Amino acid sequence: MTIDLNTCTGCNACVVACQSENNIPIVGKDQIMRGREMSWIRLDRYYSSGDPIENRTSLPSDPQTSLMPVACMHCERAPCEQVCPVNATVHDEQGLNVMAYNRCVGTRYCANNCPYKVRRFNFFDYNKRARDQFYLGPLGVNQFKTEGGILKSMQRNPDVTVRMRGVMEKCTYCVQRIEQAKIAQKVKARDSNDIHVPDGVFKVACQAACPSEAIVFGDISNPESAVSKSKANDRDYSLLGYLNTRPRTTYLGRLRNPNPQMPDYKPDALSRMEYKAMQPQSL
Amino acid sequence: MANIFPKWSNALPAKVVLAFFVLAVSAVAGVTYYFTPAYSRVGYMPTQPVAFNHYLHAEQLGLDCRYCHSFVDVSGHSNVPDAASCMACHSQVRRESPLLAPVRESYASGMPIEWVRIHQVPDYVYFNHAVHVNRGISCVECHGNVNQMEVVWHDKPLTMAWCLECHRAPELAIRPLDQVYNLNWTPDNPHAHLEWAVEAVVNWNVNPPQSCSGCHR
Amino acid sequence: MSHSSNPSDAAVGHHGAAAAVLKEVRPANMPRRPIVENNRDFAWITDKVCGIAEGKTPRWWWIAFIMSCMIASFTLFGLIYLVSTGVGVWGLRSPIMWGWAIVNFVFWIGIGHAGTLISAILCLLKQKWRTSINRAAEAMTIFAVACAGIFPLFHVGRVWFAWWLFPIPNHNAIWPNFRSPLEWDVFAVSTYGTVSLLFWYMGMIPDLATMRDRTRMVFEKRYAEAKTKTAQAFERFFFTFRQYFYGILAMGWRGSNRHWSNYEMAYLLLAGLSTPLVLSVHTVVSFDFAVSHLPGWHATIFPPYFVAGAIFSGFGMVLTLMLPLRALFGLQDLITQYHIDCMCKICLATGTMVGYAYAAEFFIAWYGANAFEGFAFVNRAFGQYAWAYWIMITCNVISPQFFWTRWGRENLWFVWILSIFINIGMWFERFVITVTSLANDFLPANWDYYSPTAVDIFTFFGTFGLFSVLFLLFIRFLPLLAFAEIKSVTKQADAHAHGEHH
Repeated sequence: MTIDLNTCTGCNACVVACQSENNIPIVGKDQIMRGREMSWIRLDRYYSSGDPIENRTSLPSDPQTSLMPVACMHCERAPCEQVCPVNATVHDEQGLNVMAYNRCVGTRYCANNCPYKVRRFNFFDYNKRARDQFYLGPLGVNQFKTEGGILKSMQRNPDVTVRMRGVMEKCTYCVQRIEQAKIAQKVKARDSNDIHVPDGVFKVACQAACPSEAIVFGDISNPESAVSKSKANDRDYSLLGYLNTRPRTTYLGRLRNPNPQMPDYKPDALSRMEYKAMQPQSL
Repeated sequence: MANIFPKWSNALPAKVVLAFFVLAVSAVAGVTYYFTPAYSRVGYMPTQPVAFNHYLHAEQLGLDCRYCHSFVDVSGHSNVPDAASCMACHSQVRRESPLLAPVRESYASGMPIEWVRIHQVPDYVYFNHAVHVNRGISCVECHGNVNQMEVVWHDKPLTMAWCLECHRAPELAIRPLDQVYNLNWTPDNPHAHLEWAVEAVVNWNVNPPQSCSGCHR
Repeated sequence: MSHSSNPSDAAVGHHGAAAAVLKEVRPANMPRRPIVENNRDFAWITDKVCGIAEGKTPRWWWIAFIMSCMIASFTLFGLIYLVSTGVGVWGLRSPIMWGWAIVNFVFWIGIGHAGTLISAILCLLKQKWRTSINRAAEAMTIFAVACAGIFPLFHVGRVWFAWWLFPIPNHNAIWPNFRSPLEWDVFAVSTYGTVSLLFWYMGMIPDLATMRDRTRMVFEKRYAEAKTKTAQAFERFFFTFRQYFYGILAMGWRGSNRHWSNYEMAYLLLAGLSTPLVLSVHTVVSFDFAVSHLPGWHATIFPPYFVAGAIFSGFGMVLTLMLPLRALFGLQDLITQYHIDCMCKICLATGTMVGYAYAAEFFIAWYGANAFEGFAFVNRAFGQYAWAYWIMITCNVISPQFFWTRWGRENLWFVWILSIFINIGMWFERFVITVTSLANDFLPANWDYYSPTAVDIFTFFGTFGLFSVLFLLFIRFLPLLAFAEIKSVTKQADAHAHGEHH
């Protein structure tokens, strides 16, 4: 997967799409304040004034924002896979870092070892209990059995497991969509050998939702696929690449107005107020 | 001072330790053998609300599996038919039979017959029928000779290790596509068939998933 | 030949050539400090130690026991709430997925290491002074391992599946991941617990046999003092109980030559087995951190650093336990100032090693020119957890330095308070390591602050209650000191001490 930081606008559509596709529970404001957000893809925002010395010592009053959507990188040398004591997270033949929820006992070592901190832990029965009853445990109402809960079950994606408390979860590259595509292709192939899923047959949830098509996903073993071409771009880089985790999700670096011959060229990027000041006055 | 314990108690600690080890090993062995689907599920033969006889319908009358389980080759889920499939024949044949009363009732009211489900994998396992039957795996490999069963029973363990046996060696289970629904088919020459199967696995590009993402999503 | 304190005199008449050299060189007279003071004999030692378990239960014991049971219930309730409701009742949050639970685990396991060091390593190094404290220290080890084992078991999200960490054949064709340090922990800690228990129990057998053999004499003395019918009935019941209790535990020990010979061999074997365990178990625990690649965790100094820290905290706990017991039971002649000196010096040595490790980590963080590593250490000292860091430095590096001075070692209230500080400091060290590295790791977007909840706090302090309950039971029923071993290192037991025949 590549994510083009030039075209990403930070609209968060990918976050919402991922939540819907993967049965990610809504944990409520209280749990978010306690640091237990469950979204598998997040939008990191960094604020800076463009002055690297000043950035280290003070909060900029008129900052520029840098954005970075971060989901599981599906590292080829995933630090999380080595440390799971029960082999709940392993690498599959397609290069995905797979999470088997039914095997996870919840030691959370994988989350500690992930340098990108993309793993999410089900601290409570977020799906089974109501938002104001998490701390009651078994004394709370079992939402799966209430009428409203049964209705809500129909909203969930049947292709994705609904996780109980105590298990880890993370972005799966929408493995359910990948497997669906592979199965459909094999069913079509029958006794021929044409089981290769053509590029573009399916999109992962975040890719489908992104309005600016910043996310490109596909088969990197196929040099003609869109993602292979995207990775051939000069701007392509890995987040924390020096750790040698070899992430499969790479980013295309953001450029800010590089051409010095343009009339509005500035060596540093514009802050919000500077940018607004340059706009033609509205009526 | 006098001995507190009799002489036979000298050997007691050794015996206790030995007994403990024997107990521990047999407990682990017992659980590994008895508390697994291979033992607890195989042979499960519940009584169904309608005594549907697969031997009669599939073997003697020659109905194809797909006549009733119609979506098995297009869907992940192999459906149990609704009463309309039954009434296609039974509106003519044995119209008054008391054994078929629940079927007629279901057809009239639209409420499905409450069949007792026999083959069920846990919710976190995503099995897809279509990809198996379309790629040369017959019903018989997982369900046994259903066409010989007067009452259906659970014939194979359906444990993960059992599934992996085939996923790791598909040539042992694959057959020509036109024989998938012929549950009585056996190869004329097993040796030649194995050779064919090995080739077929290559020619058809059969590579069943062996890692977790294949079935656990 | 009369007993003389001058070695050169004693040598005269034994070896002529050696005697002549000694007369010329005149080495200084430096007698070893006695292991047992005031020339106590065997009978006194036995009576003193056995008397602790044989006398009437003192009132302070009952008060302490009831209080400890109440405190231990905090852990029980905390764990029930945790398992029924979810790990969210603790203060954990992304990215700090390990908090107090793992800190407590390493804390308790570390404390346990001192007991094994005293029993095994000091035995192989022939340090006779270990005999006064090894029994209680080993008991401390076992109870500390029991407290420690609670945490890695219950901190997992689904405790009822924790058995998956064991390599049991199954029908899922899946084994645990042997590359994971948590898997190594399973084997390391269980081996440690088993071997420590065996060593402690086996070493106790001669002492238990002595207590078994004294039950009649004790019964007669106590019965004579029992005035009422109930008291007498109780004494009779208690006598039977003690007979069977010590009788079964003593395993038929007769004190014969064969028994002693087997005992010594078994002791040596277990000491040899436990010695590498002291080093390896905490090394494996340190691998929980060192094998990851978080800055501040991923350091090769962790194994020796953790082992030294473990011994440091363990000796601190031994001092915390033994100094009050020494005063309460009047054991000053058995646990002498010499013993306290030795323990303080070990604390000083290991504390200095820990201090060196801190300095080495800082140096390498700077010398390695790795931005993340460098930041991790500057952040520890000056970031959001700086308060924890400086508590750690004060308690671990500064406080044991007082043990350089004789005054620091001989003022026992001061030593006791310092020993408590040592343990506070070592807990904070594990806290600083675990939490600061997680809270401020690679990407600033993930940084956050962890605070424990009430459930965290009560569960931890409850384990002190559990430890106390077990230790109080140990004091009440089992021999507190290894008096058979103490007797073997007194002058009375030494066949070569003086030229007199026995």
